[in-house]
Amino acid sequence: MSLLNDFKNGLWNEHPIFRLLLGMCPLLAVTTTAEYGLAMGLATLFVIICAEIVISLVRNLIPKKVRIPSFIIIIATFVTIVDYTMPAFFPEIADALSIFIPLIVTNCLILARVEAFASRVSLKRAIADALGMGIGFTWGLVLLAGVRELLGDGSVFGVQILGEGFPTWGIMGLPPGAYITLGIILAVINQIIRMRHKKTREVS
Amino acid sequence: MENLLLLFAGTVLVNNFVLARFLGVCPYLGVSRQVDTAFGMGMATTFVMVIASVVTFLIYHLLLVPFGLEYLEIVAFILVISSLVQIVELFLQKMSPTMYRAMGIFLPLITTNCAIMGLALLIVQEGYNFVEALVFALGAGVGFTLAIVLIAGIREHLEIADIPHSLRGGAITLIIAGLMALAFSGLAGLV
Amino acid sequence: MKENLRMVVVLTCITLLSGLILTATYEVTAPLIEAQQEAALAQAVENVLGQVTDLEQEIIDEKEYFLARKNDYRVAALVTSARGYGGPVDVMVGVNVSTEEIMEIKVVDHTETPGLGTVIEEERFVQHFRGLDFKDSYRDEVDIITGSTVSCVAVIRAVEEAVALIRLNILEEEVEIPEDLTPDEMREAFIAEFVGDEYEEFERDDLIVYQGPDVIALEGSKEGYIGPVKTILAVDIESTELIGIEVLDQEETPGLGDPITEEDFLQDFIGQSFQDDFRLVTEDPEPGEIEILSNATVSAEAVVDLVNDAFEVLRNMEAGGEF
Repeated sequence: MSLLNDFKNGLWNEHPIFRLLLGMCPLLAVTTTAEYGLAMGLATLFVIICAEIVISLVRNLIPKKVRIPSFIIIIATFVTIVDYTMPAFFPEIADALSIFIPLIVTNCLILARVEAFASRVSLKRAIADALGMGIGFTWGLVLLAGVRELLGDGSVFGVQILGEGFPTWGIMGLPPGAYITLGIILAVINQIIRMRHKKTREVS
Repeated sequence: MENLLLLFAGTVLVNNFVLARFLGVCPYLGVSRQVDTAFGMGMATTFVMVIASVVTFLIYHLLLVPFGLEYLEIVAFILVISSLVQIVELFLQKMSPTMYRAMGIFLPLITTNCAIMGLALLIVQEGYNFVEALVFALGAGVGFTLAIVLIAGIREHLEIADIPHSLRGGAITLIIAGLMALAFSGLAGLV
Repeated sequence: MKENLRMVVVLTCITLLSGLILTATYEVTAPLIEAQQEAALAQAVENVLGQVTDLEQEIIDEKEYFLARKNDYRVAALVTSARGYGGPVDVMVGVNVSTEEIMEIKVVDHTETPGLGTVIEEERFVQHFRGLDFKDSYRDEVDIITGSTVSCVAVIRAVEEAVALIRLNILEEEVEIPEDLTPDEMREAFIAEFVGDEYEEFERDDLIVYQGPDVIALEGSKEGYIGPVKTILAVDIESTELIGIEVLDQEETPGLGDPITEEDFLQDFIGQSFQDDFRLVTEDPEPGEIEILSNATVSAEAVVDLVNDAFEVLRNMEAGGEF
């Protein structure tokens, strides 16, 4: 079913972070704890869904020549909504994510999906794609954040997992830890994909 | 004057946009295979950063604030930045073909470079005045250029190294970036 | 033509819609955000004062003071700010007004470097402030943590200001509020206070001389332990006495060399005539003698040497009939 594929795409095959290498900046900056990673992912998910819905609905009304500025205004509007709603209800998280909430507007992922997909397909497919990409982005964030929080603090989502005796790797909370951990995760995922390709080739 | 120098040095070395603030990571990973292209990208980014900082600063302080429209910051800034890049591209094509050849091709890539938007947002957040904003923008651009050229230099050497398949491309670049960030964090006591 | 019109119409519509939606969002969320910030402030007050009764707020000189009672004591809290490494550092200081002690401090806002400057939020730094008496300077009491000097000093300055404000406004003592001045600002203030508006500025023997009708100020720099120590002094022409002295800029070891900025040390210079040089002694200074603080010898010498140089310039000027 095409709709299901549209959804699954963002979860693995065309994973925004690990395959398309998009959204790197917020990925590295906010993934100090799993909670923050989740918050960022959900915020981005909200923006992608709203943007893809709206743009899919009005796709026939917007002249080709002004589509990019139109998309930008629409995306920026939803980002601003998040930027003002978060501190009103979740001040601590908003404080931690700081400028990366407004920077969702520069996440090429959203503009790319809207340009390549939402502006050309039906509402249902746009929603499926948005959900897939958004959830894919979120689990990528949570994965990196989970590792960093676990090794850097001994906990995941604030729940202490490793005992008192574990010497926490402070570097996980700092830029070097972020870069290196992502690099390793990327390598691991690449390895998994290569092994799968080998298997399919052996079988055929 | 002392403050400005410290601000500049601090932005280039200590609070480096790429290695400490995580801004501009996409082009950092994408356009850093060769030193020449990296340098071009760095120059183009610095150029746009300086202009963008001035324009967004003026728009914020002369337009948004007096009318109490601060909440339109995101929309206004991103529109300004994207149009700015188009305008700069046209301008360069007409005015200085040499410069255009050197960095023009990078300009479209800069539109969604979070570093420019991040720069504009930070200037507002930190409450810099006009001169401080300019120095900050210059520092941001120079710091970005420094980081991207350094890693391009390393990647050029990596071309002939025997890297395991899974690490090639993004993964190894990220790990090296991490080591570079580690090195730069040693400069923290500088300012 | 029709196409262009359509483009403009569409863009305008989208922009207007966006503006409307965002205005609505702002109107709805602004009061919520304000409420959150107030709640955070109330929480911070509770953190530094604990359980209190009769909590009330008072605005004095545009600053918000939280006054309350804790058992039989009067307690107070306020937020002060000092420039740190990444920007302003806001500290909420809770004090026991009755016993004139600091109860607790809490850093409520800052943009210091994560992992380095953020140590100012940690127990191991904050604990030093607990139970300290009211005084002018806390440089000696608080351990500055390596790698975060600027951040730590910012907190110390903020606390010093808070204590001074409490003493001034609540206890109604006569104290000076320490100000966050740059060396240039300090110089301007010093000249304005001692020399006045009209003066001649020129260089003499590596010193900058500001000659006014009644008072002459001299400024110069001598090598201290870590770096140059910049000092300015003012001398009354008629009485030939030193009437003011200030250390403008120095990088001496915090807690060791920088007592040279302290009142106690500088006070000993006041009243001396420029006819005689100062001598450094280790204890029991007589007029004309300056007591060296142990561990700050080189720093103290930098100041004394400069003052003596200034005195020589003044003696030469007098001999040359320049005033």
